[in-house]
Amino acid sequence: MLHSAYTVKITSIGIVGLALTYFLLLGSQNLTFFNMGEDGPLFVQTAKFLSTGAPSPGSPLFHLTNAGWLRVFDFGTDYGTLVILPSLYSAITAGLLYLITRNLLAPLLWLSSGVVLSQSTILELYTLVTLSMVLAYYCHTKNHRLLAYFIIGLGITVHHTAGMGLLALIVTDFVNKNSIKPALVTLIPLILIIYVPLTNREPYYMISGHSTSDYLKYFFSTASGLLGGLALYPTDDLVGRIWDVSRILLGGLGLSILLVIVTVKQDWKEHLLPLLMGLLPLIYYSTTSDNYAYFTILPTFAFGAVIASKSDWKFVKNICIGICSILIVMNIFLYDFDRNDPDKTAVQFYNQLETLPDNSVLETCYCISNSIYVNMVYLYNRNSEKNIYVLDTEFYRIPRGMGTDGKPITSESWKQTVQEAEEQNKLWRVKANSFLKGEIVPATSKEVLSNYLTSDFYKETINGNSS
Amino acid sequence: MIKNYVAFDTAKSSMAILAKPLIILGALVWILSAYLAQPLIIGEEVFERWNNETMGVYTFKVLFILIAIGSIGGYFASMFKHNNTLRMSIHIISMILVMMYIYVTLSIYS
Repeated sequence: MLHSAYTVKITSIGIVGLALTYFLLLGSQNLTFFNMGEDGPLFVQTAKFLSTGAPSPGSPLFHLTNAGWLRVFDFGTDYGTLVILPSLYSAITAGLLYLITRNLLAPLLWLSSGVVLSQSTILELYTLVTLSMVLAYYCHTKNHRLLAYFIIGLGITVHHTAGMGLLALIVTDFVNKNSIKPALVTLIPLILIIYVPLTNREPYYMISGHSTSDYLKYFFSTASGLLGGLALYPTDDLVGRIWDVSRILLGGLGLSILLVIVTVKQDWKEHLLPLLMGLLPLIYYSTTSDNYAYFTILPTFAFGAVIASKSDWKFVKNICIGICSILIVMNIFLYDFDRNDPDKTAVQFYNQLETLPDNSVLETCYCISNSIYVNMVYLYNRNSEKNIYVLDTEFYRIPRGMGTDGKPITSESWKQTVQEAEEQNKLWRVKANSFLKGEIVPATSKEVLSNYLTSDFYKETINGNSS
Repeated sequence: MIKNYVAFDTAKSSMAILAKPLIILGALVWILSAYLAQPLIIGEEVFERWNNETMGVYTFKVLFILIAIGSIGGYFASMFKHNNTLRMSIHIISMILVMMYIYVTLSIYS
C-alpha cells in the first residue's frame, strides 16, 4: 500500500496525540515509589533548584529541559507538571516509529509494552534516551550521519546507556565501510556536562565537594557501569535473572520476536543498525548488577518494533497488531496508579517527614539501595529548609559522608551522631517489612548500630575511611 | 543473497504447516508473559528482593569485556599480516588495555 508523505506525517502526528492522551490518562500525578519511580524526588529537586543529579553522567540535558519546562508551565504540583515530559518523549517516539516504518505495528508494539508504559507515566529519563536513539537512527537512515552522531551525543548527556547507540552507529559505519570520523561530533554535546561542577554546591548531595577525587568518585565509582565489569549476583540468582529477562522481553515483543529473527536472517547487514541498537541494551540489562534496571531495555522494544515492521510476513504481523491492541487495554488495568497504589504511599512517606523535629536522624533501611527514601528526604529538606539527616548503607551519608557538623565522618563520630540523636528523641527508622509503605517509627541506637557494626559494609567503608 | 531467500522461504513454508497452533500458543505466551512481568515492572517484586540480596562476585561481564578487547585487537592485527611491527604493536596495545581494565575493575570493587 502506497502512502503519500503527507498522509504519513498526519498519521504520525495523530499517533503522537493518541499516545500522549493514553500516557497522561494513566500517568502518576504525584510522587510515587511504584514503577521504580524513586528518582522522581531527585528530578523534582534538580528541576526546581538546578542541583546536581545522579551520575551516568549527570543527565544535564534532562535536568535543563525539566527546569525550563517547570519555569514556563504549572499544572498543579511540581511533579504533575514535570511528569508530562516523559509521556511526551514516549509519544513522540511512537510517532517517529510510524514515520520510519510506515506500519502501525511499530507504534503499537511500543505502546503495548508494560515497561514502556511504566516509564512513560513517571518522572524518569529513559524515554528521552530512547527518543534520542530512535531519532539518531532515523537521521542515519536518511544519510544525515553527522546529525545522527550529534543526537546520540545529546542522548549521552541524558544517560550513558545512549552510548550503546553510539557504539551501534560506529560498528555499522565500519561494516559498511563508511568513514567513522563523523563520530567525533558526538563530543560537542558533551560540553553540557559542565552543568555538574556548576551546580555542585552546598548542601552537597551527590558529590562530597569540589576536589578531583570527589568528581572521580561521582563519575566512576557510583556509576561504575560506565566501565563495564559490573558485579553480578551469585550464580544462584542467574536463574532469576533469566526469568526476569524472559518475562519482560516476551511480554513486550512476544510473537514479533519471530518476525525480527526472520527479517534479520533475510539480510542482517541491512538491519545491522537497529539490531545493535536493540540488542546492546538487552545485553546490558541481562548482565548488569541491578536486577531492577529493566528500564534500560526500552530501546530494545523500539528497535525490535522497527525490524518486526519490516517483515513481509503479513499474517503474523496482523496477529501481532491484534494482540498489541488487547495488551494496551489490559495495561490500563495493570498499570493504573490508583489501583496499584491507592494509599499513595510515597506522598504518605513525605507527609510523615513533616512530623519529625528538626535535626532528626532517620535510618532509612538496611538494604542494598534505599535511594527511594533518601531522595525524598533531600527533597523535603530543600522544600522545607529543615534538616533531617539520613543514614543509609549505600552512601553512608549524614549527609554524603559528612557528619552533622559538616566534618568528614569517622566511625566514632558516626556512632556519636546516632547516640546523641537517641538522647534527644530524634532518632527514627523506617519500619522493616514496610518498604513500599515507608512507615517511620522511633528507633534506639542499639537497633540502628546493630545493623551496621557487624556488616561488611561498615567494616569496609566506615572503618576503612577512619583508618 | 539467493541463499538467504531460500532459507527464508524454507523457514516460512515449514512454519506454515504449524503456523496456526504455534501462533495461538505464541499469542497466549505473550499475554501471559506481559501479565507475569507486571509485578516486576511496577517494582513490587524488586523491593521484596532488596532486603535479601547481597552483592556477589563480578564474573560474566568482566570476562565478556576482556574477550571483546582481545578480539577487537586480534581483528585489527589481522588486517596487518604483512607488517610485523604494526601487528605486534596492536597486540601489545590490546594487552595493555586488558591489563588496565583488570586493574581499574579490581581497584573499584576491592
